[in-house]
Amino acid sequence: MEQKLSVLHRRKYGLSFYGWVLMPAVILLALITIYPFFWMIVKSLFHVAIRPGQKDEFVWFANYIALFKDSLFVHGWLIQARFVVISLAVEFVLGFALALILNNLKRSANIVTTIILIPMMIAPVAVGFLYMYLFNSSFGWYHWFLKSAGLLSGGSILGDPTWAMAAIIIADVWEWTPFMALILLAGLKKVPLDQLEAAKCDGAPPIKRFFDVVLPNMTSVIVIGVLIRFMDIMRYIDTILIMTTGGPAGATKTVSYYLFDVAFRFFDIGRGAAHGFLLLLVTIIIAQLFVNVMNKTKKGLAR
Amino acid sequence: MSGDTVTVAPKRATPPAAPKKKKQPVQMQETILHKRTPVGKIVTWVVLAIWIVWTLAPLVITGLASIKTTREAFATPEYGDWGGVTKIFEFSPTSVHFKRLFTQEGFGSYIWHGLVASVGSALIAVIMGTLGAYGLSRGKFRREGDISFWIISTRMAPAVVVIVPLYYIFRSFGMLSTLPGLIVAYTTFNLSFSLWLIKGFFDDLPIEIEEAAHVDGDSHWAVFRKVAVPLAAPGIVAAFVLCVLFSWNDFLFAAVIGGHRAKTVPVGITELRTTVEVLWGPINSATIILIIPMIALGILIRKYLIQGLTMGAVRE
Repeated sequence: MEQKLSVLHRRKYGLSFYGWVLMPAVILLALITIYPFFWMIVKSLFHVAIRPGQKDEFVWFANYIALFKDSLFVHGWLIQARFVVISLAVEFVLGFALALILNNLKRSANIVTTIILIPMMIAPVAVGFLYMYLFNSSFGWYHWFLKSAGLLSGGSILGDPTWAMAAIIIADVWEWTPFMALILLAGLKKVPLDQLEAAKCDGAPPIKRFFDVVLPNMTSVIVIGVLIRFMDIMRYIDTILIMTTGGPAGATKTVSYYLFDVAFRFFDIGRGAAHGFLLLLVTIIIAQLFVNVMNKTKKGLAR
Repeated sequence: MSGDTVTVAPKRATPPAAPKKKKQPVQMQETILHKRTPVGKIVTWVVLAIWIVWTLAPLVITGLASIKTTREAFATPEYGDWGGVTKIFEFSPTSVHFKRLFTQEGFGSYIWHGLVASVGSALIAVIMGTLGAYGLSRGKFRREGDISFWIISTRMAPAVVVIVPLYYIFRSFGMLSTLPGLIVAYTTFNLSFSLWLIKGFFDDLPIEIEEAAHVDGDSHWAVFRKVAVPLAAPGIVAAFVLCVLFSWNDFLFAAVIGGHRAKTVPVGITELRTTVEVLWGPINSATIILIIPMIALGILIRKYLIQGLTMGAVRE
């Protein structure tokens, strides 16, 4: 293949035109990502001085050990896991139902999807305030609704550990179920009709057709949707920051949120760096998974 | 190098001559799983109606609250008094909260900061992203897979993780609390995003058009500028709009890096919640100011929204 380089790939100064145009982006990206990345790894091994004049002290893995002894950190992973699993499950099920319905629409499909996708454009901070207002225990309309329907026994939603987590999840579901629905809808549109016809001729009932034909054809789309949502839930802490600030009694203090506390409330930089590095490690592993799936998708199924 | 034989080697595995796959016909008599029945239609519309109400209710309630007096906005009926729901619509409109935002709270400059930071960062991201995407899409590199993975992984890092080192690095360079600092901070997530998204659009272009232009004697740069960029324009526009949207909506970077002198609208809103009181009237109107332009932008690029938000992995 190498000899067959076309006119497009002639080299100048050892780098093709394509190398030259890629260069600025790579350099800038390296400056703003790789340098901070190594900064973080190095600092995670230090006890970092806050006051000027003091010197950083090399402490080996003390920051990491301290993290695992910190029950808030360990619990943070559990809370994060609960947040992720419940949100994803609800968004997936509702999103799938919505996608199936949207797939049936004809003329009205455009206007309906346009209305439905509005929440995705809204700043997470704004979503936090919208729901903080709706869940307010003295004048929030959703609080009033839940009370009136007899679903809420306690006095306050955001003041109760279980309900507070539920409120955060509800806000997330409100904002991101449309995203899941639209991704799944795109997948549904690519389910080959001839396979469906064939299954129908074999006399397979709708449920069987769903599990035998529709689902297998949508695997890649489902994986992509779930992974992107997973990473975004790890990435954002805005709604928690607005609605509960991790409370009540740490009930919504996810591991991502707790990092914010460590770094910008306690200003413990060494530990924040260690914390951040572990969080990043988990996300990178997931990202690798995402890219693998995406490459497979490009080669085969979804296109 | 000497013999400039024009070998037009098809670069991509798929034969570009094949016409683009058309959308599957929608005029099926049956849906994917079941026959269209009147009952099914009713169920469909009931579910959709519930979902639309659930989607719009928070926006309508907050939108109305933003033009109510505080007393009206806080008036909920007794628990169980379902007829009292109409109270939501009982008010005389006032613009006092919006006025307060601009006269007392400085939202005029917050909006300006948000605009400069998001448009500035989106411009950098899209210009460098378009160049880089073209290079990555057309060029052949050693370890291309690793470069791609590195680029996409920078986008997936949790925002808090990126902010911790950036804060301390920016502090030593005196870039905290400045608009340029904020622009650079936003570029950390916008650049990799736009590069990856635009690359998908370049990948989709049939390479023959560019090769033909080369044969006609155009330079690489001319082909890029006159052929490739115009053809990928929708993707470039979509990337630009989404970059603006991400930056305008961002809170963490603005709060930590933007500091006191480069406050944006999301930061401004959180300051309306003081330790003494929560100014719900101004908060609700500021929320409306924050979200309306982005909803408009999102609808504008509706066609590319899913492709954009999945970084090209899923197309509608």
